[in-house]
Amino acid sequence: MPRLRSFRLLLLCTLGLLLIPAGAARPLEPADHARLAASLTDGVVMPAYRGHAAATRALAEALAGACGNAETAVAKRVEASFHDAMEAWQHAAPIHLGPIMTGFGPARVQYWPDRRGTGARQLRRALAAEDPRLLDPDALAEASVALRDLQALERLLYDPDPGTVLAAGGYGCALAATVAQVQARLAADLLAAWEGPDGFRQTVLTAAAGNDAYFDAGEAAADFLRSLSTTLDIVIAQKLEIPLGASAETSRPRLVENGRSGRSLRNIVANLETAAALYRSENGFGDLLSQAGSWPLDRGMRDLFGELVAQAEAVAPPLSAAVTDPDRRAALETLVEKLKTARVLVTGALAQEIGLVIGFNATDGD
Amino acid sequence: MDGLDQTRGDLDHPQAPDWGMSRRSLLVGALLGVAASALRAGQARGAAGALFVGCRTDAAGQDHLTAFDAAGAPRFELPLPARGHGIAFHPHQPQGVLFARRPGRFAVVFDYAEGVALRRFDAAEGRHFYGHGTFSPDGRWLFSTENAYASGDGVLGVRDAADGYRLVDELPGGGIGPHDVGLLPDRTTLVTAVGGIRTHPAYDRAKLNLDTMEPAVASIEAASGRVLDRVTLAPHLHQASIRHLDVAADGRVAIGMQYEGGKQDRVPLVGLWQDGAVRLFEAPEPVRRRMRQYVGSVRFDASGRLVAASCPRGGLVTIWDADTGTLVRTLALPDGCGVAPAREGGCFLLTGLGGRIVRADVTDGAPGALLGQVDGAWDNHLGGPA
Repeated sequence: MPRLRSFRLLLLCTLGLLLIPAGAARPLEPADHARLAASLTDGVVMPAYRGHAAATRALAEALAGACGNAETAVAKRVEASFHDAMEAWQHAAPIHLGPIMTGFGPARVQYWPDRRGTGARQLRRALAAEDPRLLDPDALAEASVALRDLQALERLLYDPDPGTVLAAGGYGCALAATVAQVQARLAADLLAAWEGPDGFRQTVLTAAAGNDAYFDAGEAAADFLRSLSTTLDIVIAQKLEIPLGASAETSRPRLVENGRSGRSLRNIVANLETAAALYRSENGFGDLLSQAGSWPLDRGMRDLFGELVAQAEAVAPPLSAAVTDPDRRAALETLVEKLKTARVLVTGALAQEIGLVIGFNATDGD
Repeated sequence: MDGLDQTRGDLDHPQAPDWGMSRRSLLVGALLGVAASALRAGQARGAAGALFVGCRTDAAGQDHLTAFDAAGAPRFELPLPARGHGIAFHPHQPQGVLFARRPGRFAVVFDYAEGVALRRFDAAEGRHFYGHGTFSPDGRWLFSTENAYASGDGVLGVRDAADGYRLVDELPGGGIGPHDVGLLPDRTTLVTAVGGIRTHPAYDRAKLNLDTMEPAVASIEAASGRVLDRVTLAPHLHQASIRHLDVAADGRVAIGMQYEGGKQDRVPLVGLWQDGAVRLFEAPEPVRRRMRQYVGSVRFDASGRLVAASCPRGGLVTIWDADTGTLVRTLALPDGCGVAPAREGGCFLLTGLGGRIVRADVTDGAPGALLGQVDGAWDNHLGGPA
């Protein structure tokens, strides 16, 4: 509690300082927004998608030929590569712009949350039918996203655990290997759609002149700001508040993300690391805020993003157990509180100071 | 003779539509006709004084339905389970129905004289609300735009306000993604803004058919559900999603579009539907660029001669002359989206960034006057009882 109080005090001081007219403020220009969008593309987006493509390819390679193999080393390699691929995706997931937003959107990589249990139902049916066509990556790529995403892969590998599944071989293992191939191709396609002379990287870099996706650099910069606020929304509401419930008694440990592989908290940490990178990297939102003259707010927010990551890392996993444990619940509730503060600052003071509107009403067509 | 008799005539000789017309449709139609004529005499209005109602999300993330008067002074507020969208106002009772923002499934019936919520109802299994609705002239039936998402068919739910808003029927919505709906002055014909975009709640708000979308303005006979007419735009405008509409007393329907194609394409975003034909308004190039291919709300003023079309992405509200189709003026308002006519012709109330409530008087040429400010952010729409 004292920590929380001192944090609030710091925040109030920060906001108080913000109210002092910033005499040294330099009005931001379109070039500043262009620099932010370009820097975040090269500094955050491209490494995230390169990492995602590489880790997912490694996962497909680890699973290729592994079915029927009972060696512990093989199972360990598959399990480690699953975690690497999910970790890489969780680092890329906060980027809510560009190629990932087309078609079925991010659900193509991870169909979650799945409130109606669609994935479980479809997978159960597929395993019962043992349809050989689903073992063809081309055919599986056209099937329901809930059969070919990382959630399906987790479900297949952790029923009950990778060692048993690999040793048993059979249809389930073969389907897991095919899902990994589909995901490896998708990850390569997403990276390719960013790279190259006609890639989305170029689209962001040329936003200032106007192109098919953006009228100007401010719009591209606003896309990044929306990504930041959307990430905070998702972590708060879907990843934490839903499993937390109102009390330990009413908590819903089964609704954590990736509970089977026990990596719920690692996902949150990865999301927040990317959120922090969007804010703290060179020419990121923090630098822009300081350029606009709001260096006290920048300093407070820089610390806050660091604390978010540290706070999430400090909670002992798994999340499904933490939500029922009073001590760890308190830590998680503090994390939620800080995340909400970050959201208020991102959508309010930050957006305003750097001259971007992520309005509510301007997002996606209503 | 007014349109009600026409309705009955059609009920006697229903044409075979290409979708399955249910017996219940006919029943609703009969009741609509009878009840409308019975109640038309008593035009009891609700609370005195103009009222404006919108949705807002406060800084803590809580959603509210928020009402204020013509001077921007707060009237009442109700908590909402999630973001709300459009409101249908009952024609005779001080009652409104707020619909969830898509793909939400809740609706809240509230009494605006007392400032209390009366009940909540949800979309049927396999349906979600698109966010808008309208009452029949007698106030008995509530029509709401809905997505039958397994098939992707756009439908209009029909609920009985006299029976706890029980779902009694479903009519076709005129195409994929009917977003907004109004009632024409003939009192028998519904008109829908068919956005044309297929979505499925399993994929949140992802747009699944941008290549093949076909927006339209559809007119639908309320009694039978017969689609009377469906106007589409020229093929090169097939990605101009017709999302919102407003019906004037003379039967003209203002429409507002959101363009899903390239940001450099020069496309109109505002138009007028009249008797089955659409006339598109052209903005001067600098204004067109500032509109950012996106109109969030479209409303007539009290006189029915002016149309306000808000452009939240561009941070401006455009005002058009409905007779000539020319731009009258623009008002800068960051994230300005909610628009409602004031009682006086030529005047609008607007909501924008930072919880601002702004009154714009088009006749005086002055910038909008800030009436008030609430905590948090206003959602897309602003409405009020007639």
